[in-house]
Amino acid sequence: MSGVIVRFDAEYQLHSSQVKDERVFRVVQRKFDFLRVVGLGYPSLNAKRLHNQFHGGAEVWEFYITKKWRCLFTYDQAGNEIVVLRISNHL
Amino acid sequence: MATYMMSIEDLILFILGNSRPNMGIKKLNKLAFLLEFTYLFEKDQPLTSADYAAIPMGPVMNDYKQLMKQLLEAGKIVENEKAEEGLEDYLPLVKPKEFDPELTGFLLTVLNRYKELSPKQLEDLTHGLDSYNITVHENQGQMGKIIDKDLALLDSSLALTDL
Repeated sequence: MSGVIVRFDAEYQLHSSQVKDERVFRVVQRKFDFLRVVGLGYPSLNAKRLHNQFHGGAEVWEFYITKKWRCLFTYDQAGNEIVVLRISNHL
Repeated sequence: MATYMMSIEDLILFILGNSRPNMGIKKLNKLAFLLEFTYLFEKDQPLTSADYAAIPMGPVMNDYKQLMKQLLEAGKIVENEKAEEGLEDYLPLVKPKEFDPELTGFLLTVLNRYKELSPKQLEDLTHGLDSYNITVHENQGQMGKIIDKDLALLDSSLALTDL
């Protein structure tokens, strides 16, 4: 699978303006650039589904950036579109 | 300017000195990478100044042949005469340096997690890491490129505790 569309939700913009760690954003961008090409089915996705959390009816997933940050995203059932919801410092 | 906890030579001697004898170069390369990148993920700082390159068999210490040659010439390691012909296999001649107990504990925890795995198992494990895959992807599949240590931030499968 390839050609996945990645877009950043409005909520992401809000949180990104509050976060100063540019390194975190750069690696997230690189991960999604990678997923955009190889597709969400790739085994190295390293993301977990959050139980009972949905965004517009779609499941919400998360992955960690070091142990301090986590990125929440969702994607449609066809796997054609990823929406980055939030990158937040959970400590 | 970044500060490093140890030199890559000390890391190699630590691995050889705390593992079973007869460490082949493939396994040594993978263990060095896993210790370095787990440290990066957990502590968000580099362990050594060494670079690691992405090659088809997984990540390796950049210029590892030169590095091992230097250690051999310095009398810090020796090639195992009993190794299978054509395979590099190393034994340490000097004890590893003593480090801060917390650092030593961390390194032993990571080493114990992986040191009983076969070279092939370690290769398969590292083939699944984001840092390796994104490096290969960003270089259009061209091998031998340096793995940016910032990508260790994404290697959550190396975390020592459940996230």
